[in-house]
Amino acid sequence: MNVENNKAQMRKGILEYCILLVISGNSCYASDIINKLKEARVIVVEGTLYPLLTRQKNAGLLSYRWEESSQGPPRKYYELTDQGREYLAELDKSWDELVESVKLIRKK
Amino acid sequence: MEKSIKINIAGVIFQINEDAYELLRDYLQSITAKLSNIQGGSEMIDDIETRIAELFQSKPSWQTAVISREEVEEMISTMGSPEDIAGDLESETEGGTYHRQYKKLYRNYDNSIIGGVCSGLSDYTGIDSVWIRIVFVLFTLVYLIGALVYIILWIALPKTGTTAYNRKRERREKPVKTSRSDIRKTDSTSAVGNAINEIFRAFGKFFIILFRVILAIIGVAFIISGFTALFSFFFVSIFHSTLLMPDIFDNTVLYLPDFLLFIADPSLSVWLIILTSLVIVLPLLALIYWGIRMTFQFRVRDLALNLAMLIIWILSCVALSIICFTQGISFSDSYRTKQEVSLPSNDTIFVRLDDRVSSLEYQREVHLPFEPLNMYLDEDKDIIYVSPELNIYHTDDNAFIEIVKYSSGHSRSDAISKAEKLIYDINIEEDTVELDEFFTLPPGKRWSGSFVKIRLHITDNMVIYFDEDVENLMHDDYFGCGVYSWEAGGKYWLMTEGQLEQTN
Repeated sequence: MNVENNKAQMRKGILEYCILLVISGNSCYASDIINKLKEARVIVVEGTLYPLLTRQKNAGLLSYRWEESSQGPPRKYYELTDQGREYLAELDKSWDELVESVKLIRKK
Repeated sequence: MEKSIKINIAGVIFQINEDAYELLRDYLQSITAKLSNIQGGSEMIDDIETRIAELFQSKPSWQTAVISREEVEEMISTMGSPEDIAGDLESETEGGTYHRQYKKLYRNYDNSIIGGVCSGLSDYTGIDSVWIRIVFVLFTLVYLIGALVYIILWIALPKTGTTAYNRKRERREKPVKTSRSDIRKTDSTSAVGNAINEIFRAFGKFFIILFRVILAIIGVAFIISGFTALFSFFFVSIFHSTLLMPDIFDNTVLYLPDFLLFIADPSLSVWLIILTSLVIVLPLLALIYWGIRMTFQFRVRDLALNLAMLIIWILSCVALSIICFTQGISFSDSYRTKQEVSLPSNDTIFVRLDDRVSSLEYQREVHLPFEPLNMYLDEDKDIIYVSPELNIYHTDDNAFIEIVKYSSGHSRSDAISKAEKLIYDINIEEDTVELDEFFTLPPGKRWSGSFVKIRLHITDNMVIYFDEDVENLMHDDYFGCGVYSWEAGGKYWLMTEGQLEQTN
């Protein structure tokens, strides 16, 4: 058993949930998402975000639109779809349950 | 001094050190290799490149400074190694459950040689494309089976799966150049495999070029023949002459607008001209158009145009046939009536012309190129006159003259009634046979395959004399019984054992 490995697994488990949470606030582009996730210290390397975004987009949870940018190439702004919102609500519930479960066990 | 290179990442230009460039290139290549086989991979690569450009731009003096190796290393540590990025997804591919159901058989243009069929199959099966190509070539040696299967798959399989294609689709809003354009997907093919693939590639290019050359040659032939036919058509119909081939038809060129007056109601002849021109010209234009397309091999969306032209052509054909049918311009059935008149039993018979064409008042005339026949139209009386044809035969019994009237019609009874209504009379007075230079159609009637043939049947030992101008009735070069038309007139002929001989 490796404690680092375990921590990484836990982070990975909640990463998709966190991405949906960030996007649910405001439509945002990849750098915004990265900054927020870094702030919250849930990702270490940025590259891992992209496969997850693509997967969520392919699953119909996200959509994006292009917006011109004054500094460089046009940016993809991500938004939650209706399906994504339902999905997020489910995750919210299951997260609360998880926290409750852990709390309950810790108290004993 | 260090060499620096100008690169373009996601549409932004950077100056970069050579060794930094190599590191960056290797990094992008290995990310591309890991992601490009995954659904949505090319999109991820684009996004990652965009982010890399942003990271480099976040340095205050990025527009003037040269990116160093350290900066690239820093960027890589921020972004994570290719394994970090693709880690999740690779396990999915290996596990097979998630990815399999999305995996489809397509043609892969990225690594294609001819149509991308083999590289598509390679992507699908995981077998190296070299082996698949070898199998196809081997099977082509067996009755061309390989080539046939290849062509069928080429047609049947969709051409998705090319990163360039996907990118174009996803980025329709704004096309952006990326540095990846010069970084090809790296195959896991071995060195020998690469060499074999190169050979295949060369062969593939050769066959594609050969195919295009053949196509272009056919195209040029189409263009030339199309233009020649079109040109001739317009020359004949507008200028009433064949500029290109004056001798082929012996100058008896059918002038369509005039000819139509002879076979159809004048009020309809305009429509007939338009429709006939459409029926003839449209296929020629199509021939030229396809010739140009085959020669220059460009792509256009012309399905609608082609369909419209086809429909117009079919409608013209239908309209033309309807007009022809209602006008009775139908030559589907033909009939002939025969009439025999005995000749006087004199030793010598004289053949003369009676009514002549020169005495007629006609405004238009045509000469049929395919039948030795002249037609004249009197527009005031609406009467058509046509020249008959005279020939001579030998008979053992009594001498007689035979008049055969031919006509066509849409049915047998129609043909019979038309043939019977042709007016042609002969006069026989003592030893003289008088023939008119024309036969007459009933007023208002149009020509429908109407002919009159006059056949003289002469016994041995009879002498026959033709006036010079009777030659006008001899449309065939060969008059009969050993005599040619141009030598028959103005002479006495003696029939001996079926042959005519000149006599005094």
